[in-house]
Amino acid sequence: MPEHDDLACQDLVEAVTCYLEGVLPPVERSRIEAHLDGCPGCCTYIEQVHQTMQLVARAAAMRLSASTREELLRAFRVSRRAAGT
Amino acid sequence: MEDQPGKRAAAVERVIVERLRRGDEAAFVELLDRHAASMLRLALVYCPSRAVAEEVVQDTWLVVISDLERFEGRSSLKGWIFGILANKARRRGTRERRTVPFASLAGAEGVIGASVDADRFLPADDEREPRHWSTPPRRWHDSPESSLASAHRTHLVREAVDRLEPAQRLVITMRDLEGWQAREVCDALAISENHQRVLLHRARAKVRAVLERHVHEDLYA
Repeated sequence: MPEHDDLACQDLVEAVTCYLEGVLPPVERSRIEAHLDGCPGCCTYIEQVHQTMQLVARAAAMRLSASTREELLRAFRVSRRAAGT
Repeated sequence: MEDQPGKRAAAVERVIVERLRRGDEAAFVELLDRHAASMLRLALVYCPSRAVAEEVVQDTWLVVISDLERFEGRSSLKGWIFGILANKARRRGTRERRTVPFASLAGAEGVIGASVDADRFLPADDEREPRHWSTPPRRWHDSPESSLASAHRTHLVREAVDRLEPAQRLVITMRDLEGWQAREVCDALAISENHQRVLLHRARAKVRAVLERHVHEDLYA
């Protein structure tokens, strides 16, 4: 049976963002990695956080309306002409 | 920590500013589109409606356009643009204050907690493995037949993100959709690294939980 260190899964779940951001001190980081070595549940959890991040990256972004974009482009043209470019 | 991404970003920005000053419309449209989502979401933290948020974003760009000659590159271009935006959004939001106060970035600091329901873990007094998974997550299978990236899942994620509270929605969008560095988000929103991380943590946990609830039998490995 895989050995867990004294880090509880419930704690790892709350530490996951600090872990992924790389802001944990080395001791804490090692504890987490040691725990992951023996805990498929937590490995899956981190994998799912990664998958979530990737899916968010693919979700469509908000866009400005076409009319707003056109107005801004027009304003840009006018200002560049005024600036003599 | 090496600032290679920072140096690269600064070089890219210098080129963009040059192109803008030369009147390069493609560069302007590119910049507009790159930042539209984050600018709208930031405005929406302070402004009562999408329409007002879009006006604030438009006003911001008008200032950027007219002040382009004066931009000296002491701050990053992105930082400059978002600084203008944040001021306008706050001022406009204050003017349009509703009777019910709208969401602000403040108040989300504090302890990270409960990303996953406590009943998914063994109790603290369990003899063998206290607070370890009782019901561990099951892997999401990613194959062409049952793709995580299917239109349905994308729609699910988009909805989950849209339902987040504004500050969480903003941070997860900037970090995971737009690829901002943590430091850049903190500077643009004038929040601490810890605060930014708490917002990001909660946002990701919520979206993951939505996915887990809806990712059914067809997706389990």
